[in-house]
Amino acid sequence: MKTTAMILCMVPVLFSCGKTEEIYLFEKGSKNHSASAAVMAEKCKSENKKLADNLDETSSFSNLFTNGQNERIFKLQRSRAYSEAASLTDIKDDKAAINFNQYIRIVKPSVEGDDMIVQFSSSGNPSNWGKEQETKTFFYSQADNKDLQNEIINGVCNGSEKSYSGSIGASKTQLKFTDIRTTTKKVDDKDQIQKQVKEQYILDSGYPLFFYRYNGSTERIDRVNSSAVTKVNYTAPKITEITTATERSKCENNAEGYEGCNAVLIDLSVQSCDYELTKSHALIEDPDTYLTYFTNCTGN
Amino acid sequence: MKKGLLITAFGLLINSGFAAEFMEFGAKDFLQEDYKTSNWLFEMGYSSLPYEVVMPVYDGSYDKVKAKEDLSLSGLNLGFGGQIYFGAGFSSTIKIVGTHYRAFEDVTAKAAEDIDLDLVKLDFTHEVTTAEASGSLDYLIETSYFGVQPFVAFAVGVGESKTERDYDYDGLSGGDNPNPEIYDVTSKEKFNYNKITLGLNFISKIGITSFFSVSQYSMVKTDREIKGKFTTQAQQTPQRVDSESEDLNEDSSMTVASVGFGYLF
Repeated sequence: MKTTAMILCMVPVLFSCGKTEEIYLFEKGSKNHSASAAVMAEKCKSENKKLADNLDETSSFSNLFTNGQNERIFKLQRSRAYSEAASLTDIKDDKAAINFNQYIRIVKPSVEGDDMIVQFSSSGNPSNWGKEQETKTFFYSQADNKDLQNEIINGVCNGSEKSYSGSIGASKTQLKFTDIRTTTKKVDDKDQIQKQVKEQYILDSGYPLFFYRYNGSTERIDRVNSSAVTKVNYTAPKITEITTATERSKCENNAEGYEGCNAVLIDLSVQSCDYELTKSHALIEDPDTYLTYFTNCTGN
Repeated sequence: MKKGLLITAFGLLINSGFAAEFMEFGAKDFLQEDYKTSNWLFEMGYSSLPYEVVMPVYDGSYDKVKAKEDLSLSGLNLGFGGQIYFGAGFSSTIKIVGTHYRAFEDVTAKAAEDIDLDLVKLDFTHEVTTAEASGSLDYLIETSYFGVQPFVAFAVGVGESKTERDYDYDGLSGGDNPNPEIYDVTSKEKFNYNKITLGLNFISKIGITSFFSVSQYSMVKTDREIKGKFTTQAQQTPQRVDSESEDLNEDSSMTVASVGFGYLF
């Protein structure tokens, strides 16, 4: 009986005749390809309107300061790991990491619509870690905030091959997005990575949007020469806010656990930088470019 | 073709190995001498059918339909009848056979490999069902292991065909073809046919048979009903294509190959 049942069950499988397939219509670079990307982007934005509405809230800076706050200071605890090896496959990720803190102070503009003052500092040995970790002060406008929001959402919704890939949290207040930029060179007919940056950031409506740059993890690979590769990882931070007088006092005094914090409270004229945005950054492959960066820093 | 070979192999496998347990109904005591007696027959097979489909012509951006197109279907046939033995190796098999053929196509077209935007959906289904009565003249050649039985058969039958084509293009603002398009048409046909078949049966000592055959159909389509609508880039208001033709009298012919297995009891 089992044999009979088995044979009868095989019959529909044997006699199904047809095909199911998925095809692609347009070549890259064609008019239709561009139109499809635009439609995809609009669809993506439309589907994610709730997130955009929440992020819009941050462009009115007064929304970021409540209960009479004039400033907010954030402490970011993270670690940095540096590795070097003869080849990428030889690099071990379990190298000892250095824990350090970053501090971000945002100052409420006295008049709604004016720029927000942002101060940044790091503990540890930032001077050897590149400009990104150096103490700095910059002015950040509501337009900067809106432009950044548009740039990131456009990047995620771009739909073309090189873009940010993103996912939205259930609360629609966060956008987690990833960007990978790579340069390669043909070596023995194989693509060898020369530089690669992998960035995973979180755009969060609870902070001014430039904060994304400090709210995530990064990994950078550089081929120094044919027999040396370096890799630097920054982990995603644990973010806390300095809210009590005691904590602020520790910050002022660079107390244990708050090393480097005092720098965000110093004279604004020191190490003042211009904040810049790279347009259409999501489409750029160059690992040496960044969505946001700083120029014209004084006192460095 | 691969399916045909698979079925044949499957039938021979049953002949050789699992015959004793196969389909636990009917007599299990078919003996070699029963070659030369009358028996009941049950058979199941696979057929491949080329069928000329008639649909309203359509020239969409990503789907074209010709007025007439030969499409290939595959089907399952089930037959039941009796084999009457005349003597001297000659016999005649009278049976009724029902066959259901089906073909489908399910295509999703995305904008591009790097753009996950579904633009075109095409669902196509074609089904043909036939029922026939046939009679054959068979001649048995016995070997030490099995019987070989060439046969010629004549059949008359009726059939129905149903073809559904559902094409849906969403349109692409800013592209070469900005407007949406649809082609949603169903075509039904009824037909009568007669056919002549040449084939070969292999009969095992325990009554399991396997066969292959080739049939030439002479078909008269008697009735056609088409219902549906379509739009194009130029014409966005749906255009109905409803029509019904009775007493059609359209002649056509086709060749069908079948393989399968059966059981004598």
